[in-house]
Amino acid sequence: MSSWFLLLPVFLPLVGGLLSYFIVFPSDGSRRWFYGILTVATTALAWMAILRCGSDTFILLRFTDKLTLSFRMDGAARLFAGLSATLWPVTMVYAWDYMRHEKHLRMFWAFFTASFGVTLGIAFSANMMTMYLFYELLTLATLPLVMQPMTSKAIQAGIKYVIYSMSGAALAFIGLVFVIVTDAQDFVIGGHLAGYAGSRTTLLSVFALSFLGFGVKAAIWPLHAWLPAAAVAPTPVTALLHAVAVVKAGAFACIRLTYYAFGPEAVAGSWAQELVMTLAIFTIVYGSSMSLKQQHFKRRLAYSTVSNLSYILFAVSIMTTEALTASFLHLIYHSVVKIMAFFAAGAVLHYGEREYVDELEGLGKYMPVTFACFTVASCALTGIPPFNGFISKWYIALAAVHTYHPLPLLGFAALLLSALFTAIYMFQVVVRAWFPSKEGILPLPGTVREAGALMLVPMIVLAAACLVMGLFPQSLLDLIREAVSV
Amino acid sequence: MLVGIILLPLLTGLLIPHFIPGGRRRRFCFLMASQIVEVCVVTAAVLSGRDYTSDIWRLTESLTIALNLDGVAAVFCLLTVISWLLTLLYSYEYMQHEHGHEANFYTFLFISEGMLLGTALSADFVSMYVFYELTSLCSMPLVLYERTRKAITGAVKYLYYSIGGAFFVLFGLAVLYDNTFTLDFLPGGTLIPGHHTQLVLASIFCIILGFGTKAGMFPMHNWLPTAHPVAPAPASALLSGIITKAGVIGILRVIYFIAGANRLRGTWVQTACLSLALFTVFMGSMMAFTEKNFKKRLAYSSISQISYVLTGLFVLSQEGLMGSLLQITFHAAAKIALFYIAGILICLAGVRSVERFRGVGRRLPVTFGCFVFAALSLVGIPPFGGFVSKWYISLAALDGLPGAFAYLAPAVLLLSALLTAGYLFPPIIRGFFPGADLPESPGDRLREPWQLTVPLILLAAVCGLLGLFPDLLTSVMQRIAGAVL
Repeated sequence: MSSWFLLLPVFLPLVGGLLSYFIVFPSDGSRRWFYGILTVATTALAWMAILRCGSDTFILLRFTDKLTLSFRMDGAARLFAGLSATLWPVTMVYAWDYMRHEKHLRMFWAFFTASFGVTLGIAFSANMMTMYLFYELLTLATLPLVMQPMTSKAIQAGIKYVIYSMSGAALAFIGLVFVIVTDAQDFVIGGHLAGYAGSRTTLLSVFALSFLGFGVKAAIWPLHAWLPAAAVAPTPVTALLHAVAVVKAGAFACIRLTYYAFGPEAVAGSWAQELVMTLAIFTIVYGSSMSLKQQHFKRRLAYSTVSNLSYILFAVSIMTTEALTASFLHLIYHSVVKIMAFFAAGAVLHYGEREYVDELEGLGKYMPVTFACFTVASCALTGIPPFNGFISKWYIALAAVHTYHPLPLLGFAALLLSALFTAIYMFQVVVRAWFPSKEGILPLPGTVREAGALMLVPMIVLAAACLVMGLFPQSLLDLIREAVSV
Repeated sequence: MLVGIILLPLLTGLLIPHFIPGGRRRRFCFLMASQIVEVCVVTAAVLSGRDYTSDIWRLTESLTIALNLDGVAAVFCLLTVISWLLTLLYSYEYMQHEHGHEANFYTFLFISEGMLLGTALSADFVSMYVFYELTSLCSMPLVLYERTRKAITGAVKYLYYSIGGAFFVLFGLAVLYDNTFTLDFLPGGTLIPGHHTQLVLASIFCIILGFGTKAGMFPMHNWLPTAHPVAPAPASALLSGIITKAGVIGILRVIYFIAGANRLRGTWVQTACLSLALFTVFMGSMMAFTEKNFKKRLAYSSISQISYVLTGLFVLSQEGLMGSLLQITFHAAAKIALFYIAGILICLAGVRSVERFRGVGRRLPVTFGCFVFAALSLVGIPPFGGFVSKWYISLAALDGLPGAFAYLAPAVLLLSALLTAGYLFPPIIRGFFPGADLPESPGDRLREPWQLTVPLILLAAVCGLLGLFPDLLTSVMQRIAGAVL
């Protein structure tokens, strides 16, 4: 299959989603059908592209010789696109139920679908220019989703999100210009700049700045604050975009920048590597200790995301192939786990009408499936074997140990400390829900009920996925290894 | 075979308490039958003398789950299944006095058994880590059974400490993965010589600290006196007597089967660990001595007694290992008996504090009779069981330790034995001889149900008989220790 095919999964939801804003749907059912078919069609196209497309480049637009808008399929693209294309329909099903009583649905569904295309665009980009473009577009496409409740708090969160993302993009722009000038912008594993002849200080400074720039979306400290604020968005948005698509796009961009444009050889062993690694390590501990302090259920999960994203960035900054494998593994595993945790939090919010952790006492009895799924998420996120979080943590650990440098070892220790914090903030909820204290205030029977089937099915599917990926990680691991091999 | 040993309690726990129709008695008969089968299977596997191994699962090339039944595993498995059998009988009567969801209690009790057996049977470090984590997770609900604020706090503290400890282990595990030929347990160790020596030593120290959390070793002992006393008596008995020893298995496996005793002898790791263990021995006894709540006193006592085991392990000699294996057995018997007694005192006489023991011995003569046996064994007075193990550990320390430790270790053990006598005998004396100035009469003799006393008498008999005929056990333990070193 030739590579023009890549345009379809990118532009179908993008154009279709945006145009659909102008359609007036006669009923909820018809809206559901329309977006359902659109999303499933996109997923199908994306998977066809993943499975069948070769690795030739398709140039859509040629501004100048060096500036092109082009698409290409490679291993990393397959992984990221496959992840997004799988989780999007799952979230859509969840959103059908969750969004039923929300306002501004027209805007929600239009941009929800459009951002699917944009995310796939990031995955399929063949060079830095194209990725940068879609990266900026993602900010714009997801902004209406953050602001969806249209309360003043939500609008503030949206503004914060835009300011952070745009400034991040500005930093990343420096990197974009640099790689265009040095002819390093086509994504090839191993990068182009290993034998860079110019000033090394410039190279390293540019790398550090653009890593931080892309790191904004991956919520690296000190540029993380937009993410917990964005927890005001409706749950499908926080779950999919702020645990999976947007933040993982940030991590994915960092991977592209480090391994596919600059190349690990150009940066490894330098102060720039140490700088980004230190920031990632700090964020790991910072995120999970902040998470401990949060009583708001969704904000707790948001800070947990901050911490877990830096597991990925930490692995990226180790700059070995082993570490790249580990970072992709955690990227995928964390997405599945965190989206499920957010779904559970959303179900509690929606059906239990509770948003603070100390209100969850005894809820397990009334929402058994939801909390069973949340328990699986807790085990997986903490990294208790045989759930999947353990596997990715193990491979990050091996990659870190294998360097025998003090900083990665310290990072590994930080990761374990953060995992302990994770155990605390997750199991606090689990224990409270399943084992209410005799002296506590229990929910009155009849005030809380189990979430509806449309919410439960995605959660159960994801919980099963967590267990399956934890018990049979070998095939995925082989897939990633193949994807990142030269 | 080995998979069956783990699966049987797992399935029993998941199915029988919830899905067998009929009353409490009927369900209990099924549980008992299953546990008896389990005991028979384990005994048969151990006695057959065959070297059972089985690879259960291959997660990835570096993560595999495999089981193997060797001498050390056999000791742990037998101890576990027998203790569970006795405790099950004890729970039948005892749990009637508790208010809570009893079916869940049995579920977690049996699942913990399966996971613990998995920990003991693991053939390599990764499998052991997996089962160890699951043991912690599954035994946590046993602690919070009573659902009081205090019980929940205790359980959560237990969980967090255990997971934290496990992460210490994971750190070492990842380092060792790169510096050993294999993570399979092989007597003599599998370290690659000359590879990052200091880092490897540091990681082994981390592992010992991590597993030491479960074994109540200073500085990570703090959860134990919080968690053990708040659990119902059968659960505290197993937690204190057996589950803490999951940590001991971990340390034993790493020292003797991964690092190799020869590699560690004379290093700073040995010195540091010995110091920690000896300090814990003393500290635990001291804390127990000052504690008034009986169950809490027993919990502190466990901290001290398990560090006897660790001291024996850190001597790194055959006698030391043998002493440790004996101490594991005798401590389990005595401590489980003592927690049974604490439970009987709570549910029959309503007594929790040692200050209120005056005259209770006359009301519960059988219980207090067994108390005498268990106490004598725990203190280590010949001819009771505890004496044998402490004798071997002290002897090994005198023989095998360098410099001041050769004298310091036996001295600390003796001092702690003295303190043990100090915290166990006065309650007994007070129980039997209330003194003439007792303000009110202690009350009539209470009926002691046989379900509570039979397990207790059996354990007391073990403490006495095995001390009288130590050869039964020492020869076996010697053979096991000989195979390791």
